[in-house]
Amino acid sequence: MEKIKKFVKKNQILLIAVCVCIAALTVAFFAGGNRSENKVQTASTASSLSTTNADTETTSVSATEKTTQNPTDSTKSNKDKKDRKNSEDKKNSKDNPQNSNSSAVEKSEKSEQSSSNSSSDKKKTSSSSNSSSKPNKKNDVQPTTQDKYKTDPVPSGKPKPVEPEEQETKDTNLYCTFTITCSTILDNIDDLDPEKIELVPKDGIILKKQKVQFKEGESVYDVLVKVCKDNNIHMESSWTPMYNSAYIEGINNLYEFDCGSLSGWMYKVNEWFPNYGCSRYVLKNGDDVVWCYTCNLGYDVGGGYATGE
Amino acid sequence: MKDTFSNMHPFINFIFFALTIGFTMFIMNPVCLAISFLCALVTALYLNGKKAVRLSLVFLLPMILLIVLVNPVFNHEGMTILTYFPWDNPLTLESIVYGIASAFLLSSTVLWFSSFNAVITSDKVVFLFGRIMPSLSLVISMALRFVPRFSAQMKLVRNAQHTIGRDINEGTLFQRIRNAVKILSIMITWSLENAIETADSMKSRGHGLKGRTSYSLYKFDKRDAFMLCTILFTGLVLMILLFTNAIKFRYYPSIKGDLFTVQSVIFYIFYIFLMLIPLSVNIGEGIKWKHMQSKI
Repeated sequence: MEKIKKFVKKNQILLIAVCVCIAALTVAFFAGGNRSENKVQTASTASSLSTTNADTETTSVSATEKTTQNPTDSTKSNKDKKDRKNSEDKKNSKDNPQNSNSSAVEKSEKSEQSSSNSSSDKKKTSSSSNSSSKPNKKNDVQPTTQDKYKTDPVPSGKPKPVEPEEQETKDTNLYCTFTITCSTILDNIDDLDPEKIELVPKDGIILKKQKVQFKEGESVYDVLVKVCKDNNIHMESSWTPMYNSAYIEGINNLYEFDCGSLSGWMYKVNEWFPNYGCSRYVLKNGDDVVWCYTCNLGYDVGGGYATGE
Repeated sequence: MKDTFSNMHPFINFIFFALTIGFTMFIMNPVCLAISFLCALVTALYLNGKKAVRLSLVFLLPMILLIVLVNPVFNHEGMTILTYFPWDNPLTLESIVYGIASAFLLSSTVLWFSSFNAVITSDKVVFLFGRIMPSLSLVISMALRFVPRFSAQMKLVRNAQHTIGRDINEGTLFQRIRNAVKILSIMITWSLENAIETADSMKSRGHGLKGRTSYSLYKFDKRDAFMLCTILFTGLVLMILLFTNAIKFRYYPSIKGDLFTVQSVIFYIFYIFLMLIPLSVNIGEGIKWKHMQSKI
């Protein structure tokens, strides 16, 4: 005991330094996990400087878009864009501030949730008039906050996201129609990786519209996996914990970024591009699912609103 | 064993390894990979003997196995679906083949570098780069010299500490740690001081000044000129063929490539020729030596 006491006394500073190091590592270990809440907070603080720089540009872009689209579309702005974060990283620099902007949005919203129940109409007018002011003010009029998987509020009348770990499948057989198409590549064939030209069908349709049987409670992702296996179509996906959904990297060996840096796979159900991942969309009987390849972040397939403002 | 190739002008050695390692690292054609791997293995065995065997068994074999196993698990691209992983992604033939190819590419590069170290010693490095970048070549040679010198000095210090009863094997655990830290601190002080001393003494001798020459044993003779021409010509032919896509081969999304066209066969022949230069020089010299002996 004596010796230990002596040792401790002698090397006090060293021991304290070691303890501090271990503590810092522990904090970093737990804080650095995949939990989206933490990430948002740290990201927003870190990027608060850069956000202000991009203020004017971001807001003006959103304003112009809102005039072209109907109000419901513009409300679901930030959501599925997160799902496509990969493709956004490669996008031009304009998008990065946008991303950080949206995380700053969430933070400030939490602090000032007072004026949250305004209608989407009101939002439209005020946000376009706000286009020259700070983005923080814009948040005041956003109706609700993002959920814990960074999904913006779903427009009324559209199904809410269901977490795949809570969803149970039943034995009831239901039917939906399923299509996989990459016809946008035909318009941008010059951008396509030359090794992959042979993979694109002449009419651009990888899987013709067909009736597919599925069990009640299955998500779009489950059905896609089954359909691809049944038809021997190649498909690669990766689980993304931050959005609690699978991300479809490539179908039929046509991958994201294969046709320009803004390309990738998107899905629409009954002509609506959901703003959340395909593992969280539970299908209903008679739904019409289309997987389409976009070469321009969804704008060329009519789903630009799902990837960002 | 005699190593005539190492006795050639350092510039020849350097050019040879630059070309060989460059080609090895950038060509994924399976035939070229096989050629490069076999040539690298044979050359390393000839130059390093037992050390090369140990390197390939202890380090390269596990590395090859690891890459071959890991690539299909993380890479799912490819048209030929063999089966599905439990996480719904396909296991494809292409990813397996690509894993094997990249494993061999990496291991042949490592083998070539082991031969590189045997042939191009630190004095050759200083000779090659001493005039172009004197301080850098001094640093390189000092760094190469550092490890053996450090361990020798460490032995000295440990012996000296041992005589006053402060070796790292004596006393309680804490005392041992303290002794070890003490020895380490002595060593660090010594190495820093030593590096500054070396640099100062080199400076006082005028290392790197204009007009200073350095003594070297290397002469560029007729044999070297012939060898340089051969290597450069082979390299040029290979470059031209490479840029005309003679050996084009792709792995994704489907394995495709004509391995045995006329152009590619010419490429393979030149490739084998280039990669076997050190070995054939050495063996040829050995035969010549024996032949002359028997004549006398």
